[in-house]
Amino acid sequence: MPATRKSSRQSAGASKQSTLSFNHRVTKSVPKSVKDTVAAVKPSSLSKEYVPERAASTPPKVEDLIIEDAPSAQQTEAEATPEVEKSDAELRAERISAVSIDRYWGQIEASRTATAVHKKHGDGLTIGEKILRYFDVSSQYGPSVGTARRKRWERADRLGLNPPIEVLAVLIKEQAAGNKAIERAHMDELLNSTAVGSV
Amino acid sequence: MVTLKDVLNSGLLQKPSDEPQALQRSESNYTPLRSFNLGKDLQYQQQFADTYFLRLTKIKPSLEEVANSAWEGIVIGDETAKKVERVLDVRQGELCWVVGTVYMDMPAKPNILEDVSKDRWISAPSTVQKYYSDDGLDSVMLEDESGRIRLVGNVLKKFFLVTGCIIAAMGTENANGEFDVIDLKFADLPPQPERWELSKLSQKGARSVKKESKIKDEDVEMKDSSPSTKGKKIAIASGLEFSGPDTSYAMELNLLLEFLLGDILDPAAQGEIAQISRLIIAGNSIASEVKAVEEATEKKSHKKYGYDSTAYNAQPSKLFDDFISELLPTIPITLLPGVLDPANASYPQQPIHPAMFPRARAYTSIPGAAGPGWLDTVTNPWEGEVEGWRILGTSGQNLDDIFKYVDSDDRLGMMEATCRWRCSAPTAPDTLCKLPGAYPFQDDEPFVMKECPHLYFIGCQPEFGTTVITGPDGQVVRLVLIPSFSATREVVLVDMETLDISTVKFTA
Repeated sequence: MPATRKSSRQSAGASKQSTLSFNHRVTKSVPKSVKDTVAAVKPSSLSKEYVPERAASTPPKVEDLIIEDAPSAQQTEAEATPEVEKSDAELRAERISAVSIDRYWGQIEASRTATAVHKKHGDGLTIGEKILRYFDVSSQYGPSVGTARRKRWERADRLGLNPPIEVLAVLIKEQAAGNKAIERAHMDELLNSTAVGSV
Repeated sequence: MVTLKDVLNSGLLQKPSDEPQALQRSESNYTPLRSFNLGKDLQYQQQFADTYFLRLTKIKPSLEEVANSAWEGIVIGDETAKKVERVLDVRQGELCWVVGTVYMDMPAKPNILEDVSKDRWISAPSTVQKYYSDDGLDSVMLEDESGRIRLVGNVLKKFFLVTGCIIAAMGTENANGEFDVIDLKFADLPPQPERWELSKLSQKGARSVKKESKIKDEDVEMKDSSPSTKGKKIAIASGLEFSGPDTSYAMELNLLLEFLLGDILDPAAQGEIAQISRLIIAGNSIASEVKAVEEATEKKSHKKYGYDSTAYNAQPSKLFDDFISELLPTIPITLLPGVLDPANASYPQQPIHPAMFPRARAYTSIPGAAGPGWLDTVTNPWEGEVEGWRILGTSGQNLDDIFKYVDSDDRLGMMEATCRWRCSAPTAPDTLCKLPGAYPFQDDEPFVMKECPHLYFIGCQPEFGTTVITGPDGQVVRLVLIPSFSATREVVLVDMETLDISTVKFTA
């Protein structure tokens, strides 16, 4: 086996110039002292959506050529995420009550004139999940596969297609509860699964 | 005694003539837009359906307006045309109109499904000149998120149609289940910004673009500060194709260098050359060495890191680097990558990395700096404002691909068609490049023209051509085909006051 990269880098580290420090890996290994604060405050997927705000609030620390995910940088990120501004749509969505969500779903079901033959297949699903799946198959908002539901809703909102606010309400609620399964469309998981033995 | 005065007048000696005034090159007012720059963390999980959806959704509202005003209340054979929401909602015998995306089903087109079914993982790059075939096997379909319907009718032959353009078609469904088209409408040219709009905005601290009223109020004070562009020109060159082995046009390239530097011709002509405030290089600056690589891979070559380093020839990029680093001290350059250049193969091409030009690199902007540098490496396609005029330019891939779809040689007509479709590269996800075609846009589709440019140029074309087209709201666009320098030895000069075009041809 040829010499691995790591060993060659260490031998070159004896030079006098300040070099890029690769000891702090890109996958952000956080020192133990900060792990608690970060885990407590950072909500999982919400923070991904707000990368621009996070980047803006991290103060630029110019420390020569050393790229460090310094503990201080992590702390400011942890402080910044709760301060993130909520968009107009989110504020409206948060005000939607569970009763109105049920009423919305009732309206959709009432508009269907055919008899509900396959109702038993939907027994294991909550009303929230049913609403989300109905949103997935609403093709006027674009394809549901390959994109997160939240992003799809926001894109539809941006394009002026008036997606139902109840969907956003359900998404926010589920995300706050830490439910990761609702992030992508259910069809996405089915389509992306690979069968054993397939090429 | 002979005095100096006597000798001076006799003609044997002469006082040194007055130093000719060193000519100053006109300044360039330049504001590039970064509409086609992709971010660093690109995702490739999404499918192209998102791109098509975005394109349709963005163009649909304006297209529906155009179609409504044209076909509202129209009566054909005792029936009024109605609008239908989805393509599959058309009913047999009913006169209706619908908006959708065109899909051209052509057997000569490279088809990924065919490749997979024949168990070939990589298809050889298609060598056909045209996908269009005369034998009637090609079919035009209209598509949206509900489904597809085939279009028939003689009126289809009057228009340029390619995969990806958005149209409104009026007609009726016939007995075969095909949609018999009576009339077609495109979105036509988008609203055109005023001249100097971007510079005015940046001067005011980049407020959000509100309607004309605000700009009109301040128009009086703006007049004084808007720079004069008397006689200023820009030069657009493309297809310089610096190459190691091929030196047939090397002399002309040298002449071009001296021309732009103002080293040749007489002072009067030099005065005109000094008016050229910017050079835009529209693609194909470095020729690729395809043949050498093919031979090398046949023999057993020593490959490290997956490529054979002995096959690489650094000469072309070095020659190009020397060329632009000689030019750069006197003239700012905007560099678009082309299909042969060392930039990514998918469309939109990202800027050529300044590391390719060790000498010219000094003139590029520092990463993170706000304004563009003297050497501005930009994307292909590219949008920007030069001397107040909004310019849109590409390096030719979009037009070359459209050329393959239609049975015509009228490249200017195709350029006009892209403006009327409001989409500069409608074939982008379908066939545009050999490799992963285009980037699968998910949030925004930049090929849709939101604003109409004043000048639209396409580089690396076989011949020069130009025309002016007008739009329904008074938009005026100058279209220019920039010929490839390696083939025609021509560069194009654009007058920045009138947008008139002239070409300069170099013969050694």
